[in-house]
Amino acid sequence: MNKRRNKWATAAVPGLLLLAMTTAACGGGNNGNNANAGGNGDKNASNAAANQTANNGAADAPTVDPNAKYDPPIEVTTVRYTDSSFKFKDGESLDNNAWTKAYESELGIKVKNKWVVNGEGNQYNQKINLTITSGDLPDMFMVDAKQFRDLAEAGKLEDLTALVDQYGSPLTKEMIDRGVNAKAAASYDGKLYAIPPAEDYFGGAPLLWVRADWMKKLSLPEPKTMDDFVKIAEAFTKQDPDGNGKPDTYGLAASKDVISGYPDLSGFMNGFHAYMNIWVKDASGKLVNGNVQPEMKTALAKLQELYKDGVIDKEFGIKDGGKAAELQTAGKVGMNFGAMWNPLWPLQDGVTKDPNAEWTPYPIPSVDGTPAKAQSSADFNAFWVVKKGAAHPEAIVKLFNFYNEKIVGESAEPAVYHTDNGIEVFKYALMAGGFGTPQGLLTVHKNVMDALSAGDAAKLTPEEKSYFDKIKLFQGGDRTNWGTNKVFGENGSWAVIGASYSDGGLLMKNEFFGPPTPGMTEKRAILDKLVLESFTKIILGAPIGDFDKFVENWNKLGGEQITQEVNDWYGSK
Amino acid sequence: MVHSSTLPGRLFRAANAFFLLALALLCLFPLVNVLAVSFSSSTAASAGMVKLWPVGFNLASYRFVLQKPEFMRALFISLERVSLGTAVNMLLTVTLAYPLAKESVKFRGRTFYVWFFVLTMLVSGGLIPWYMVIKSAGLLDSIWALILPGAVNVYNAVLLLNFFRGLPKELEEAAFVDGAGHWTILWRIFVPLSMPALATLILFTMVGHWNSWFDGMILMNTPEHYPLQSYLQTVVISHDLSLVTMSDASSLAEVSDRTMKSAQIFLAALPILCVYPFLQRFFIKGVVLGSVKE
Repeated sequence: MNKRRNKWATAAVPGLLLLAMTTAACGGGNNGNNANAGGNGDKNASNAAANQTANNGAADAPTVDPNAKYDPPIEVTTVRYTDSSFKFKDGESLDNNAWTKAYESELGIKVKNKWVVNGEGNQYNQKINLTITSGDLPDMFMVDAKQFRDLAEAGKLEDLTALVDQYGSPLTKEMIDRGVNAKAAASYDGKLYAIPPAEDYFGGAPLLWVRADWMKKLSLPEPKTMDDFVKIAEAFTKQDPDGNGKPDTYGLAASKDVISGYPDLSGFMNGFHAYMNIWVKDASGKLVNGNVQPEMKTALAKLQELYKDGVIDKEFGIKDGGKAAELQTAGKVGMNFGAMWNPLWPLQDGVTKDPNAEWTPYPIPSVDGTPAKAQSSADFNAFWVVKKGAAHPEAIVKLFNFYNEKIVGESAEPAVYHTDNGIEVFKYALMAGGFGTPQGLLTVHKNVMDALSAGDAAKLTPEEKSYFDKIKLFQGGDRTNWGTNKVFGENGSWAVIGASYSDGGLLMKNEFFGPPTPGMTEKRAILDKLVLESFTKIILGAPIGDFDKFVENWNKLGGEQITQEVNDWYGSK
Repeated sequence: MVHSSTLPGRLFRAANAFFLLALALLCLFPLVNVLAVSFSSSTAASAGMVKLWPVGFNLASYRFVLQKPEFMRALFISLERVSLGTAVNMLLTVTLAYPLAKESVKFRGRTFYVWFFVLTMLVSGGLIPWYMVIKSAGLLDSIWALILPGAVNVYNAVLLLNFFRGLPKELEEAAFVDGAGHWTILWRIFVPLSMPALATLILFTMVGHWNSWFDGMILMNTPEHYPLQSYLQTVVISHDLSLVTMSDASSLAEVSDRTMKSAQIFLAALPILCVYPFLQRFFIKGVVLGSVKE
């Protein structure tokens, strides 16, 4: 008898424990929910109150002062990311810095970060996805195109159209209206649901970068046509441009990603009027995907030929951009296609290392009489939105007003809000980074050039002034500032972009800039992989006839459906 | 394992030794390369000139990393996590394995409880429920969020359970006769006898805690609370070069400093590298011992 009770006891004790644990967990959960519900209730109440006062205010005095300071101060929650480029003064952080102090003292807005994640892309994305699904949204936050569409569709965002009208400063309105496509991407059903990112089609467009000292040494002509380009590439590969007696140089840089900011083979394809991964208009005015056009076949066939000739690194298929850059830094590669920022990285490393190294940017050479157009897709992927039901939805507009005013406006205070003793303070601001250049970098280049020729930097904005100073240093013989000079200075990236892509109109914009279509959400990953694999295989020597099979597969695996959706979007735009 | 002196026998052993040596070197090379890069000059590293020996030897990167507050802070959080986490894990594993090691006659609900726990190995709630449970429990942004959700490792408990069952029953019975209760038997007989198995599990748990990064990134609300591997992940991650803006580009050069990355990777691997050899002799013994029951 005694023994039996013992057995029962041994069985029951852990059972009770488990029960206790699970109920405790449930209790915790419920409490959490209750707390949340309470929080929401409070917020709704205060929201209602705010609406009431707003309405009363509107009734009493129809003109609201858009820049009125909140009194008493309000609290706005948000979420942020940092990365290794964020530097802070001692004791400062994303929670406490010049911007947060100014938000509070000048606008009466206390900005509270619910969380901060280290890592801008994937990490932020994962965390914001969790935050969205767990229903714990902050008042304002940044989302990508897909999250934006989902949230707008589900009615979880505040409509900002009227708020921007009512509270937006002229500068804010200018910034939002300047990017027509960006604004369209930030709208849903004709209403503006987000502060759109800056629209910049030039920053990602490929340029051709050539080792000028090698070209001179081998007395080669400038790359005006694709034939010139091929001639230079072969000479760089076979005529020992670095003079070490070994055949260890390459004509053209490439990486396993095929296209990206560096190295970017889309520039080469553009020379054949082929456009990778973007949507272009065909003769009949319909949108088609550049990957499956016949011009792409020609471009790939030529790349295959160059690869066979040893112009491209035999191992490019396993190297990412960073790894590919090593060859170029070591002085083994003579040309690459890449974005306007390439001089800062990776070209600067090689120039620092080798005192003779010099690179010159050129527009894309063309294979025939028609000038080549550089492809560009301004990916709109950063939208600042306000949660539906936030107590003060207009705060986002006031914060954006304030940012614009302090960075580019009349009362800009660069030493406080832009760069303080080499620390980039502007990164702490909400809606900074890609949101803050109303006229774009082309204007920055022009202003810097004007200031250089006039020898007077007084009229420059703080950003422009920082480039101006570095170019001055370079002119004084400091080669570590070669990169900045090559981007903004004479014969630099923006000089070429300005002359060819802007004034010459030689830019092929991605015609599709809407949110991802249902077909894209579902099948884009597979299709992207198919494109990358097929193209890489062809460059590595697969029969060029495989391209036709690829086109067939692409259409079958969802390409046809996506093309239809993209055209529906285009028709309804 | 008879040493054959015939020619084929010797050939086989030579080939065997060569093969295993090559395999070992293959595992060692990446580590040596990282070490060499961490001691090299930054230009040599970014030009890919460093193979197995430092080029332009210097200690600058180590000096920089050791002065970096983020690195040291993350290191201490990781140490805290490992010591706290291993203690909690082992306590729960031992107290779970003991009753489950009893036979069903002695502990009636045993089969039910075993399945209750094993089920969690087979199915899981997924990322979002996981996150929501931790959030509702109020653990977000505290060190406990990294420890409690994984505090009961069923796989380890099953290993230990099998080991406990392999211990002679007579010991337990003798102790009972002498008036010992379950707690005394567990702590004074089972645990001291299971040292090889426990050492193995401690190693598993320590390495597991040391290496995990994802939960740190998701569950901590500020980078200041990241454990070392979550921090490291943000340092070594490769940048998406298709979405670079002007302000990114100027920092790319800095971020892509390979000597700095290598120094941090090496320093982060060092503590575990030091623990491993000391626990390894238990390691093999422990896993095998628990597996066979007479």
